[in-house]
Amino acid sequence: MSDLAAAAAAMGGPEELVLRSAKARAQAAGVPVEDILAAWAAGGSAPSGSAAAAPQVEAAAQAEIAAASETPAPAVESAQPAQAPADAPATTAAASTQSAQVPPNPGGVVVVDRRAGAAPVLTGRVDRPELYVVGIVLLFLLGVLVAVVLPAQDAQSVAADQLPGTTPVLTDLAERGRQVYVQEGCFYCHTQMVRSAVTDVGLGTVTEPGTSAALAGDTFGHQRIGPDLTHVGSREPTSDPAYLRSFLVDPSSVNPDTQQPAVAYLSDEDLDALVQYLVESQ
Amino acid sequence: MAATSHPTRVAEFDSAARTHMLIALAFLAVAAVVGVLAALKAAFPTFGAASPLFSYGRLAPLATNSLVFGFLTFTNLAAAYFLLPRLTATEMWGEGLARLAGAAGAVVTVLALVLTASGASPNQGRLLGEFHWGFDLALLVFYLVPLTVALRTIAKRKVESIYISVWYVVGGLIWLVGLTAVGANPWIGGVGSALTTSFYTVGMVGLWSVGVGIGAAYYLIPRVTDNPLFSRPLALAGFWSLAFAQVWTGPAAMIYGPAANWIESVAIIFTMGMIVPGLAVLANFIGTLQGKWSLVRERSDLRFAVAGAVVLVFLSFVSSAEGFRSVASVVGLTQFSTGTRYGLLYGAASMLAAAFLYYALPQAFGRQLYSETAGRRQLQLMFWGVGGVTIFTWLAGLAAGYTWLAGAYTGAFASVGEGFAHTLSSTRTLGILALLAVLVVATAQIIMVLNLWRTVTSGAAAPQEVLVEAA
Repeated sequence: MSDLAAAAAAMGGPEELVLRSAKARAQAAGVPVEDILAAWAAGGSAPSGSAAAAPQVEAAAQAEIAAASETPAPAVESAQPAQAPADAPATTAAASTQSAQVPPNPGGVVVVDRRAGAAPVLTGRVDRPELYVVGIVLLFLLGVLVAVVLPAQDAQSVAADQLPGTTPVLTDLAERGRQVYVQEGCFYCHTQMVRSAVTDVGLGTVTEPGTSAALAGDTFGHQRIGPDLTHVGSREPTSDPAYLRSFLVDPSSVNPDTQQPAVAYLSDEDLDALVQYLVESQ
Repeated sequence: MAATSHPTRVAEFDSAARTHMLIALAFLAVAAVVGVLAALKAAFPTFGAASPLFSYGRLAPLATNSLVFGFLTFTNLAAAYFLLPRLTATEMWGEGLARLAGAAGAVVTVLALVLTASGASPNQGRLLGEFHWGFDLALLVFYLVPLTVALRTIAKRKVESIYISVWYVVGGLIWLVGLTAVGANPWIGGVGSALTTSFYTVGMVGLWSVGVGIGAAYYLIPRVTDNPLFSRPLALAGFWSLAFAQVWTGPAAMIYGPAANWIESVAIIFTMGMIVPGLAVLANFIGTLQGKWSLVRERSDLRFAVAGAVVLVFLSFVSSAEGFRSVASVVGLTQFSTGTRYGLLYGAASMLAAAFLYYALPQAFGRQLYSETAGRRQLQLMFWGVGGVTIFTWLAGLAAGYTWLAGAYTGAFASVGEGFAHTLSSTRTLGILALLAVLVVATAQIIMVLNLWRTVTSGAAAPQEVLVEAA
């Protein structure tokens, strides 16, 4: 058996990786690689390198050498001595018993990440992580300010100064219905937002910035798989609570072409509240 | 100069990453099943009509949130814990704490998903932000742990220059914490609430779900190919353009809506700008792969990384086009943007997450990938499935938009009341086709779960990376 094979057997690692470690060790120690392999094959420590030689080797490689010579794989092997032979996948039964405590290293092989911190890192100027973190945070806060806070303030002032009365005042029952509307996810398929776009012609008054400004959350929605419900309570036949109720309980019996799912599972109280909210959506 | 000689204990090293990987796979299995149920309900509304658990309003957020807050979030956290020690050349700070926070965070996430879907916890009414703010605050605490771990680990790094992947990880964690804090706000109403929702949604998709996946791909491509990164300046330009532009794009979802015109214009401009980070990433990936394209045919991780980047760039162009007012006047508030978002989450983000898991999970567990063939099949199914859902949903959006437009010009008003039947007749078949495509996507997701689970439990033994601290 060659020294390489013997060293690999002694360390419990593949020859390729042991050879790589040995080369790094040899370079650092200034001795032939064969000497390193011979020492490892015999189960001993590799010859120590001179202090002068060490700086010529990248730091991570030195760490690898230290690991290979001072804390080799046997620590793992002793921890998992009988686990999973390298070329024998476990049976299903064995797999299920292993799953509770997943063995981190079934082959008893330790490969030092030689290039940790080296390739693929490009060398160059020293980075300033604190500045990066500050930059990321500031850009995020700027985004919050410009994309949320300022336009929200803008909408609030429009509502307060120019369009008094646009904020809807709901009855208690309708307010509860609004909560049911959100809770049941009606907003996934319906909008309550009439835009100043051609496609929204016929939907009624365009939704102004102050709409529902005083209410927590919003029901604007993001897509219309079903029709817009901004003014559903002012249209026929949906202004009729009885029609709405029967439609929500059994939609296909009222309109065979509808995609509206039934909400018959709602309690009578919730259903009444939801109907009231829709009727008051004018 | 003497090297330190205290390698991280093998059992501990990567333990947080391993924990998070397994949690992510469990969530993916849930997301696959619930995703099919939600698509089934969308195509056939009478399915499970008697039970509130099968209402679309419960199933849809359960499907999306189990993917975003389950699979993608825990995969990204696993990526953070996997990459940090390797790229700072030092033992990760707080390995045990990270493990514990991951397990606790998973419990909170499961509770939030189940209680919201069952109706026991109120839906907050925000896309991707359905969880009650109490859950958001609890998750915020758990999300602060990986951020702390990352910053503490970087503080004791043994390298000078910090690789680009670390910035995507740190940026992603800062964005995750910030977005959760902003999205949790239950008191803001009206336009402010809608702007909060749009800000939160685009951030969770573009910054968190996709961003960390890009960072992981920046690591695995040079490592697998043994090529140096093509361009560090290009990588940094891509990162900072993402950090700068993405958070401003949210209001583009409300074009012609009640928000002020100026913020719509700002959002439109930055939506155009979102092409830059995608192109920078793809160009860098292609440059780094020079001379090693044969590996892309051989390895699942590289295939998924490249596919994810290509999908990301393509969808960036589509998103930019959606920002034009002329386009928005047709497809705005239709299913079109839902299709784009589906492609980003189930395509780009999921492919980048798959790339990371196919690369890192075998190393973290010391096992060989159970089946490369299964990985290849999975990508093919994801391509056709995600492509199918996205295109059918786009077509449904276009059909609806043009039907509304025609209705407005003719006075038939297909966008309102009983006239909406015209819209439905043009989109119903596409909904059924989308369901079939969702089945294909779910099959791909289950294949990945089984392939990686078999890798963990019965894959052949393989070398396990273990970090030894540099001097």
